[in-house]
Amino acid sequence: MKEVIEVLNEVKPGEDYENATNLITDGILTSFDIVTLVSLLNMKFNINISVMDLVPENFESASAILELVNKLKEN
Amino acid sequence: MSYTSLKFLLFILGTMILYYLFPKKYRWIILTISSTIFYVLLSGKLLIFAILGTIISYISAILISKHEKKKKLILTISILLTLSFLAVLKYDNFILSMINPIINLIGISIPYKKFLLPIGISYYTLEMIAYITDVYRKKNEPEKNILKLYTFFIYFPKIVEGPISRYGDLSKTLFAENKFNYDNFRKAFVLIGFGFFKKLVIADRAGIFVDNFFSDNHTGILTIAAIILYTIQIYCDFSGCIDIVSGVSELFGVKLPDNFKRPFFSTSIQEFWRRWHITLGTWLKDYIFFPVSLSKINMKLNLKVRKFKFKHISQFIIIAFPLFFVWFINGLWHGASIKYVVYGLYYYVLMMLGVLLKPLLDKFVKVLKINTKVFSYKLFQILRTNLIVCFGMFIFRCETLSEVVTLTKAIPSTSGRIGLFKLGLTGADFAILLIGVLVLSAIELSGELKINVREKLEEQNLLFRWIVYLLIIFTIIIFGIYGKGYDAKSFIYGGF
Repeated sequence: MKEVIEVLNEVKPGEDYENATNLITDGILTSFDIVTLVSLLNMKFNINISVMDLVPENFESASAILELVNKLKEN
Repeated sequence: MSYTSLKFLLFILGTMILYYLFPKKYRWIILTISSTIFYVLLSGKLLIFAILGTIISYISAILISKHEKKKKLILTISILLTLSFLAVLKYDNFILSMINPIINLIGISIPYKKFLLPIGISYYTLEMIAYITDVYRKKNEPEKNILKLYTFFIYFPKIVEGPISRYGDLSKTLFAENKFNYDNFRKAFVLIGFGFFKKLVIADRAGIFVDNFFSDNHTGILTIAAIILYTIQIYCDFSGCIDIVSGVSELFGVKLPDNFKRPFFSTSIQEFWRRWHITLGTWLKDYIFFPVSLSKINMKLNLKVRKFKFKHISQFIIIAFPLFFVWFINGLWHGASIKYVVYGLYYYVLMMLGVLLKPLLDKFVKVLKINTKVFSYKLFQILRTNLIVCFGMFIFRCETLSEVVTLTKAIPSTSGRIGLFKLGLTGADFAILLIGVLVLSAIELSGELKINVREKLEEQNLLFRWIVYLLIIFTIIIFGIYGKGYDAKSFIYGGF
């Protein structure tokens, strides 16, 4: 979780990522941020996030992002 | 048959009676029939392109779901086939204007041809691509009933100006066993009335001034009035149409997606485009921006740039490449001319400058100790965004790019200056426009404050509600722009 929050802070600092649960719905992360986030996550965790994974549910919170990362690491 | 004509109102009435008389399970078939009649009345035999597109979408989606290994190839072919109708019918002359100068060198020239454009082709083509792609992405199952797919593509409330809908969302209510609900009917009526108010009282009134200004080649300071009035016109015309068709659709219990969310309260152009023509923006995001962003070439480019340790430059590059396609396509979608491409690229350049200069602007704000959380700063951001948008609308309205340059240069000019009231609008018209815009602003401000005016109205007592309903009707009848020899202007976005 710590690593995901680090990446989120690199993309857009100053948000409460530990408690936020509506990062997309509340407009905290825009589509520009998502693209940067995906590229950083791909690099950091050596995964390949595809367009099919780009659904709001996967990016609403740090834990949802972690879940996505873990799922892709398993594959 | 315009959405603002009496014929259309009678058409809805007839469709509604049949819809609710039919057994619930088959009510959507009435919408299939009425949408086909509506389409044929507007575009005649050109319905064939919508039918062909439906067949392509239907077959490709089923093939994609059955052939996992070849699904990328099927997707590519089906998208190219779907786009080919639009390319030939809408963009043939634009493409030829680029090809001909090259092949002229070897003595060949392809003659230009003007085809009749099937109504709604720019909208349903995007819906078809979205449908096939969503099946490819396993977001939706392929529809087994081709008639349902066909009904979705040509559904009459959205065929002329959108909103661009997604099969997965709209099919939930379009094919549901909808019951007549008097409360929903009243709410729908208010939305339709509000749409007519925007279109007939504001947009068409502002349009008189704008048309006279541009057609009579006026220049000078009045250009600023024409730009502001055109911005008001296009917003009230387009969002008014969306209100009317969304309300009409609600009469059948079918919920169309939102297309506007009070865009003139936006504090940046990025935000403006998240609130203006939302369904086009989300389409471009889902089917252009994300796929290009996550493409191998863009990811590799980003990896290389990151090595230079300039964080914001890396963020700029990763967005610059896909966003170019988004704005190029956005411009081109609006029309087959260089002017529309420049219109799209105008926003592209501004957005990219915003991303590139952000660190510098942040530093500037910090050094000058500017409080960005206060109302005055937000107001400054809103005004700045509106200024940029107004100029974008100016590009959109001018016939050519040279007209944009000529008119802009001539704003300070005093030669041939005429009075404000010489362009078709009287003082009373300006007063009605002002009151109309103030009413609209007040309703939109309520929305910004999370107050749903329609819901609030429904909570009121019967007498008050009916006073408001009658006020809406009489305002439209008395202050709407129509009359002998005047046909309510066709909707601007219907031309795309």
